[in-house]
Amino acid sequence: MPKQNHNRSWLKFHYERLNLTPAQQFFEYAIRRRKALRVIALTLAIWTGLFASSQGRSSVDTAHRFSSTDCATCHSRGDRTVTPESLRGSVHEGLACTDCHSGIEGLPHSERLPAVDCDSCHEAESTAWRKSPHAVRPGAPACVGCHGTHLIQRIRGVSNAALKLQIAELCRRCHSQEYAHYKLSVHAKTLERGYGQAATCTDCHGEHSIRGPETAGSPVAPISIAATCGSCHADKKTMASFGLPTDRVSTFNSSFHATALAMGDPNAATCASCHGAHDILASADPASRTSPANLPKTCGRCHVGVKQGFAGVKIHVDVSPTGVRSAWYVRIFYIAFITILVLGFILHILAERLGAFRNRKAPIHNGPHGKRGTP
Amino acid sequence: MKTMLGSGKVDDMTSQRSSGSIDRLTLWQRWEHGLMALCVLLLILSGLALAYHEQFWAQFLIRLMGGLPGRHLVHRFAAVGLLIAGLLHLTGLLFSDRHKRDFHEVVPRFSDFSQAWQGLKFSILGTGEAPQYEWFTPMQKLQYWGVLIGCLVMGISGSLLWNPVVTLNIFPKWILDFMLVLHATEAQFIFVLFILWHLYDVHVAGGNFPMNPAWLTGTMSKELFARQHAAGGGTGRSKEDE
Repeated sequence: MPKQNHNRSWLKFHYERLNLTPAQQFFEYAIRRRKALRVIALTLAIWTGLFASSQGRSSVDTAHRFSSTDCATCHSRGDRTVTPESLRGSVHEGLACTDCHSGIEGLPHSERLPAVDCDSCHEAESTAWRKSPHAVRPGAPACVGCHGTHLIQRIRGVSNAALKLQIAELCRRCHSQEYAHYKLSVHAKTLERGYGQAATCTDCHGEHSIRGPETAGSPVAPISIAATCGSCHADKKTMASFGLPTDRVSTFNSSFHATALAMGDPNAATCASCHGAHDILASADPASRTSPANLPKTCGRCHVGVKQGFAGVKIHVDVSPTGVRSAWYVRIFYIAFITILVLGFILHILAERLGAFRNRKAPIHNGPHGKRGTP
Repeated sequence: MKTMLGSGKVDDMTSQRSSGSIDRLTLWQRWEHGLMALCVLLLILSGLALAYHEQFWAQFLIRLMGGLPGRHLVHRFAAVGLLIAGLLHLTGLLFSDRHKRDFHEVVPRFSDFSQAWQGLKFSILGTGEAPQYEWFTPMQKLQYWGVLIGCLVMGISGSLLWNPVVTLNIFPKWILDFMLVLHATEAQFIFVLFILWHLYDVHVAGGNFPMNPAWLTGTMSKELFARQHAAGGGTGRSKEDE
C-alpha cells in the first residue's frame, strides 16, 4: 500500500519535525485515531458500570437479608415496641428497618448496634448541622434530638401553626428562658390563633445550621437580621394577610442606623435593638418596646438625653407623598432645580466656548459704553 | 489688619490703572476664600461619603477619615471652619470700606439679567455686542449669593442634624426627616454649582487656564480682566462712573 506508506512516513517526518517524545508521539497518533479512543472509552465505561452495579447488588443483598417482619418478632414485645407500622404516616414510610439500622450480621443481633447514620441520605442537612453550635456542645441535639426517631414528619414548606408551635416546644427543652419570652411575643400569639405565617424559632435562627446572633453568618447576626425579618415583613403577600406595612426593612435600610451598621459600627441599632428578639410585641401593645409610651426609654438606651417628646415619633418613614410629604416636595424641587442647573451649566460652557471662539476671530473693540470702554 | 483688609480708599482702583494688574481681592478676602474652600471641600467629601456609603469610593473616603466616627468629626470640624469663614466675611464687611464697596458691587441689578441675556445672545447666536460687565459678572454675583444662601441652608439644616436627640426633643420628627433630605439635596446642588461650575469658571473659562491667580496673589492682569468683564478694558468699578 504505497499510499499508507507515504502517510506513515509523512507522520514520522511530522513527529520528528515537532521534536516530540515517544509518549507525545503516541497521543498525537491516538488523537488521529479517535475511533480507537472511543472504543477504549466505551469499554472502560461498560466495565465500570458492571462493577458498580455488582457492588450495589451485593450491598442490597446484605441489608435486606432480614425483613422488617423479622425485626418485629422481637421488637413487637416489651416496652420498646417498634413494628413496621411504626413508620406509617412518617416520611420514611415504606423503608425497611435495616435501611437505617445497619450492622446486623445475624439474629438475634448484638446488643449494641452502630448509631443510625442519617448522613447517607440527608447529607446536606447533616453537613449544615455539623457547622452549628449544636454539633459542638455536649448534650445538644443531633438529628433525632429534634426530629424524633420513627415517626418523623415533614414540616418544610408547610405553614402549619400547630407544627410550628411544636418546634418551639422542642427548643424549649434546653432554651426555656427564650421560650418563655417567645410565648409572650406577637409571633407566638399569632401561631396560637392558627395563623401559620408567623415565625417560630427556626424561621429566624435557621434549621440545621441553627445559630445565635453572635455567630458570623447567622441569619440573626446584626448585619443579616434586617434581611431575615424582611423575608416575611417585606413580603407583600404575607403582610397583606395581617394588614401590616411592607416598608419596614426598606425604611430601615435608608436610615442612619443601617448606614452605621453597614459601616461596621458594633453599636448600630438593628431591628432587634428596638423591637426585641424573642419577645417582640406589636407597637400597639402598651407593653411593647416600641409603643409610644416606651419609645423614649427604648431610644434612650443608646441616645442619651431623650425626653418624653419622643412619644409618637414615627421611626419607619419614607420620603414620599404618603410618608414625609415636606421632604418629598423638597426632593422633587431639588431634582428639578439641579436638572435646570446642569442644563444651565452645559449652556454656560457652550456659550463660553463659542464666545471665546468669537473673541478670537473679532478684534477687541471699544465698547459702546463711553468712558468705561476706553482704556 | 488694615493691610489685610485693603486700604479702603475709593480711588484705590484708579491708581492701579497705570500698572498692568487689577487688585481683585484683599489678603483678608483671600484667607476667607481659602478657609471656605478647604472647609467646603472637606464637607463635600465627608458628606458625599456618607450619602453614598455603599459606593467603593465612599467607603475608601470613610476609611481614610478613620471610620464613621472620624467622618463625623471631620464633617463637624469643617462645619465650624465654614462658620468661622462666615464670621471673617462679616468682620470684613463691618470694618473695611473696600469690602463694603465690594458688597455694593455684588448686589444684583436688573442690568445683570439683561447683560446675561446679551452675553448669551452674543456668544451663542453671534448677534449684538459683547456685554460690558462691571466689577463682578452676573455669573460671579449668582455664585456669591448662591454661596450665601447655600451656607444658610446647610448651616441651619446641619445644626438641626448635629444632635438629632436635641432636635427631636424640641421639634416633631418630620422636621428632622425634612432637614435630612434638604441637607443632602442642597449638598448636591452645591456640588454642581460651586465645585463643577465655579472650578470651570476660574480654571478654564475666559482665558483663565490654568487658573485665575487672584485667589492666591489677589491680582489679575488687566488684559484678563478686560477680556472677562469689559471688552474695551477698564476696571469695571461702577462707582467710578459716578
